[in-house]
Amino acid sequence: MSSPSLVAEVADAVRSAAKIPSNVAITDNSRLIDDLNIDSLDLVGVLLQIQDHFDIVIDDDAVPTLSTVSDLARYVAQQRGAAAA
Amino acid sequence: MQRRALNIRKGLLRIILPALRRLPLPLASRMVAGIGRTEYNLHSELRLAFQTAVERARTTLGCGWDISSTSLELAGNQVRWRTRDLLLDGVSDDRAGRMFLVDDRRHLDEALALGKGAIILACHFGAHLLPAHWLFREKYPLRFYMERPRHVSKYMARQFESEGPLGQDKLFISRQGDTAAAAGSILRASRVLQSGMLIYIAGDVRWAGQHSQPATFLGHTFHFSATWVNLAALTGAPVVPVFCQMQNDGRFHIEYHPRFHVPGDAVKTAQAAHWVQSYINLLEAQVRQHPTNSNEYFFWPAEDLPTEGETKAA
Repeated sequence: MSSPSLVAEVADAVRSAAKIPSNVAITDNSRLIDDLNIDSLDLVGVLLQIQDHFDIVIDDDAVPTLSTVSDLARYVAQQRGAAAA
Repeated sequence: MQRRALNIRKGLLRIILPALRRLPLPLASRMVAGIGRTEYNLHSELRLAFQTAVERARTTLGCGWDISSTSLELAGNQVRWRTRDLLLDGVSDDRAGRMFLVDDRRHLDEALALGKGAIILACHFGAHLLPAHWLFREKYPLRFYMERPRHVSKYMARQFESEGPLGQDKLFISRQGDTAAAAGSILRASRVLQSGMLIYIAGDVRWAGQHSQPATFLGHTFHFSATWVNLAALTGAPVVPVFCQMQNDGRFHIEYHPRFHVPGDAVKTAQAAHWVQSYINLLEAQVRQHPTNSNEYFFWPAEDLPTEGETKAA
């Protein structure tokens, strides 16, 4: 599980990188591609933003598993945990 | 050409290439072209198809090519092109090296020295895989970012066996890939560049999916993949165009062009179409100058011609 504040932080990063309008709600269940209409290039932008913002490295192979905002938040939490361990 | 005839030629080449490699390689290369010229001389339908295509391109571009000799040489070079780098398989670096004339290598080395890797922008003009073969022979750190090329030499296939995060295997792309797979692939390619390596990508791939851009080529509008533009914009890596002509003496003439940079905002603006068109203009200039190296371009079906239904409706 990832904390609500982390999910909100990830959602902000997604909104900023993919230029999602403010009137579009982003929840933890929002699907990046299907709900937020993020294309492959914007998705790369999102991933780069997440990497920079949270100072983590996203494994290329993990990208297909990161479907929703909560998937991203969970991945960030795991990576931070791994780095802290 | 009919598939059966292509298969016969492929079988013939498989048999005779090992023998041809024992000859001086420029001579062997000319003999491979001779197969195409012989087919051209023997098949009247094939001859007519070449001459019609060359005449159409000549009219479109307003060039003064001689149709008969250009068609004949083009037919010969098409077979050399389809042979890819197989003629150099199992050949020593020294013998292989003498098959190449390389101009302006400094453009490549200066681009690499910037420390952001470099995008080698290739295409299907001339001997399209031979610059990659030369780069491998010269020990440049190179990865392909395209569909996996088939029927290449065992030498090149061995270069594809690299593994790990920067390995080649996962950089071969598929037209069937979904959005997430495409994003993972671009991320991987950007890491290859960040590590200071070269990415070899084609700038003339007709593409119907996301991130294609229209450009005019040989008088018609086609949609081309803009992947190289996006990658260059995302990473800031320099782009170095390369062309490789199949010369009449049998050797391969590689020309590196000056590097350029794609601004970071190109993917978010109409600039991507501009960059694609700029490259296609560069390619078209090569075709004007060396029509006998144009391979299949003169045979491309036009995307922008009206369909039968549209013609009837009009």
